[in-house]
Amino acid sequence: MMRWSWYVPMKSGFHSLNPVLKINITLCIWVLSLTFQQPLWNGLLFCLTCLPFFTSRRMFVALKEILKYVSPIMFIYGILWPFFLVGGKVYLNYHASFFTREFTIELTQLGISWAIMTAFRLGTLMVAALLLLSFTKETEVLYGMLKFRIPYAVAFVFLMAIRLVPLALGDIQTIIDSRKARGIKEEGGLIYVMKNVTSLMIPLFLIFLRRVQIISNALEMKCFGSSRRVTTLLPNLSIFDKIAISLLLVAVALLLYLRIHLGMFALIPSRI
Amino acid sequence: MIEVQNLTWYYQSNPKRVLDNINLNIKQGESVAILGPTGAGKTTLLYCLCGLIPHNFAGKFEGTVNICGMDPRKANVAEIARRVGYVFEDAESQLVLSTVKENLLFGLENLGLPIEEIERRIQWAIKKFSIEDLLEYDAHLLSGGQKQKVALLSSLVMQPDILLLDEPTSELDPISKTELYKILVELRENKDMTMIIVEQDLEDLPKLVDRVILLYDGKIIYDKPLRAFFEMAEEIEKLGVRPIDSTLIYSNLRNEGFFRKKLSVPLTDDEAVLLLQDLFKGEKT
Repeated sequence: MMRWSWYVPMKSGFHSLNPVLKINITLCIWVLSLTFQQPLWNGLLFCLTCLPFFTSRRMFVALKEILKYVSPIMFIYGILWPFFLVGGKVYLNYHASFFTREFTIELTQLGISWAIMTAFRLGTLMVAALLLLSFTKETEVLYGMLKFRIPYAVAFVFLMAIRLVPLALGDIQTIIDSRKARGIKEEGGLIYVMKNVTSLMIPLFLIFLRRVQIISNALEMKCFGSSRRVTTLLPNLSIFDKIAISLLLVAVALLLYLRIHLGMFALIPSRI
Repeated sequence: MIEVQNLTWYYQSNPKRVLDNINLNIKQGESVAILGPTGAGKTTLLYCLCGLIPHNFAGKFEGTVNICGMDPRKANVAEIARRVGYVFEDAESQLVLSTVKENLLFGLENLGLPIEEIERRIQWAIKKFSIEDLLEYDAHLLSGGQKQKVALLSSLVMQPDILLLDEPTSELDPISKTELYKILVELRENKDMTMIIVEQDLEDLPKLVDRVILLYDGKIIYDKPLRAFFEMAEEIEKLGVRPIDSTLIYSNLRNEGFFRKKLSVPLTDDEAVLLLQDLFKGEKT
């Protein structure tokens, strides 16, 4: 059956948290991942973000699925960065010429550290988003966003957009399966996908357009966009939620202060 | 309730007329089936009756359409949707939120009703259609039949004056189809609601409709009362619509000379059985 959502339905402590608190946690992780600028701190934050997935076997399987998509992006990011940033101890120095132009490729300590840091940073940003979506129903995310006074139409479109991602992944799988059924050998994982991107993307794009058209028609026939909308399911914050959110915000503010004013947790303090 | 005059529609991508000079008048409380082969323009006609055309599709719109006093070219789709409910063929796409309850609430919240009224309508749906156990279920994990039932209910709780059903049973197994028809027939008893259904499988249709329109190549070929329509089983079949089995059997037997007297065509299994019982008793009528 096609997977239509990132959400993994089950009962756990993290599942039962108020969606507003979970959105706050995600936002704090995002801010911290952009604040920290050292492989150790960003790596630690990445591990902490993955930690809730280790609470049960089902969530661990969900994490593996997430890392299947996230890790190649982290890897590509990590490989590219050392060539764009140099500084500190030099591990490799290679002079080359291309036609009349000469250039040097250097692998330095700063470049490698920065690459590891950005790979973890990117991974944390993505895993934190999927942490929220794996532990929170889309509708709860929607109602949580309304608590932040985000307009309903904007929050709903965001919800639809995140819902379309797993649908698109399911559609790619269907296209690959139907190609296999017609005798095309499908091997090579990501490299294969990159090589065959056109022949996969054209049917995917057409399916996607059709899906968007059907959903938008269905939404309009339910009076979506009506100015008189009321909301009945907004979550209420308990004292625990309020204390937890306050503590989170204080901790993030403190870490931001240490980073900005004292230059802690940073390879290049003057840069984000 | 619905008045269509000289309606012609071309999609921008296709120079052919998808609807060609359609004239139609549907009164309040009528239950009408729109039949036709694939590509006849059935869904396009429904889109015109709820405002999705011309708002959501590019093309050329000629003629006039009046839906509950609204002109779809002037009124926006959300305004028309307050009076017109639409059940799409694809149940999945209509379930825009997670649980059954959230999907029922979605339209009601968009209508901006008072919270007490929303609660009253949800309770009505629970009572009327015994869905209490389903309310907290993930709608996307339900069976095809249940999904379509939820899609139908999410339209019904909005209490539309007109209900448009676009092949609502095409993806359902026979049991789910029978259940859905049972609900629709119950609704039919409420004479205030106008119902227009597009359907390919006609076996259950006589329980529901009292008028049939046959579209072919964008034109209305027949617009007749139910029984009069199925009197023409052979002509209907030639136009690419498979008639009800009992009407075909009746038509063949009549051609073989079994019925000398003009009888009314059997539309249900029960009527067909009665007719055949008379025949086998040797009481040639």
